[in-house]
Amino acid sequence: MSNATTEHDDVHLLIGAYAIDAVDDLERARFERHLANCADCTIELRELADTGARIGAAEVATVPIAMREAVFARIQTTPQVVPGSDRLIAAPAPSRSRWALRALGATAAVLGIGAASFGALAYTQSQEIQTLSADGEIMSSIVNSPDLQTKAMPMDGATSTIMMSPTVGKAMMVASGVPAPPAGKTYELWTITSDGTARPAGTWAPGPHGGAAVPIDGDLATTTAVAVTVEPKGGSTTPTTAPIAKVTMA
Amino acid sequence: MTVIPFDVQSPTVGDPDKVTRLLVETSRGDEAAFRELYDLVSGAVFGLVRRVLRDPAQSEEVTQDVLVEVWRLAARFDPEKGSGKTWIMMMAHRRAVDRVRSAQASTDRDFKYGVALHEPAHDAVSSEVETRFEQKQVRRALDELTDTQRSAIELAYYKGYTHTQVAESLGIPLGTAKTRVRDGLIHLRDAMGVTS
Repeated sequence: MSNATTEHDDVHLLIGAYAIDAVDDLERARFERHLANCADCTIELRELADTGARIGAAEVATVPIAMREAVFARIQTTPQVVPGSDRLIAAPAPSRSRWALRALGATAAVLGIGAASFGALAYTQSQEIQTLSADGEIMSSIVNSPDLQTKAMPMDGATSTIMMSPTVGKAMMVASGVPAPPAGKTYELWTITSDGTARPAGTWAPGPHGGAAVPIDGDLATTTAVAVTVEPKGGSTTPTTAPIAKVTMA
Repeated sequence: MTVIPFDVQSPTVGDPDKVTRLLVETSRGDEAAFRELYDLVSGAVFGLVRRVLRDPAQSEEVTQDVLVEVWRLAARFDPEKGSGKTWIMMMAHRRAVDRVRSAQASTDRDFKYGVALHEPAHDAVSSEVETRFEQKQVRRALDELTDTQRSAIELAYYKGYTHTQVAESLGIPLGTAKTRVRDGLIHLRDAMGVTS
């Protein structure tokens, strides 16, 4: 048996565990990559997921009456995602307690694993899954880490958040409502050390709907602040303009 | 209090597409459709979440969150690729499991929170519902599993264990745990006549 076949069988066997969420985040990402290219899996997974749903639905219980109005009240202030988009329709200002969750949802949406993150049939989103990259895996492990920390990074007219995990040792930026950079320019992330040195941490541009999820290059442990500047296309090695956003990490 | 059945011995049973249709209408911002959808699925979502989480207060919180997520993410649902019922129940299961795992993570950090995880299960199912056809069918199908398959499925599905934790808990190799979960599900699928 070739290695490739062994690898395939190995991943494929995860299908049952994947169908009922008995996988960790890395296994999930690995299986979803496999799934995008495995027609057999798609059919089998659909049946196994339906089976899981049947078992789950058999647990039907009496719902507290108050929940009905509570849910209807909440949807009045909950924007819906737009089909085929990573953007939320104008969200009301989130309360503090919901904040991390919202950021998480936004991240997941931008990553294209949003559906998966909330158990929606990931395999129905194979177009998005194919975009799940190594970066996606890092970001997914940050988002799902038990020590996830978030920091708002004010950015004019946009919402941006730094999400970081000391155990993963990495940080990422999630933003929405970001205008496209001026012609010939790009956004660039910087990590700033305690002595004030700015190190390039990656160039980026928002998607067509103003969303971005960008891993921040560099070691989280020695980073005391994160900033964003507008730089000539291709990026710079030291910042050439004043930051449009900056946040202290400590 | 009323028990709202989900796709069991009710007009919806002959119309499995109703949940799917309502979900599509919900994705377009149709609040009336969402209300109808709520009435069809909230009992099943709450039942499943409570079965996994056990704690009633947490279960209510997660159930609310799931139902709001159904509203928020409805546009992500693609009726070509699966049923609305499965989409919603998977979301409910995933959120409940995520909650169990984050509780486990804090248990690892601070033992005292572990206590809540080991409280006896509440009986999530009323006797009225007990008799319902779909539930009987699920019970029967679970009974038909081998003991080893059943314990793997129960740990994974109802307790939110990963297959790695299933392997550790049952003292079996990882590959065996993976296979048992898959074989168990395939068995259940065949016993319940699930086809896509």
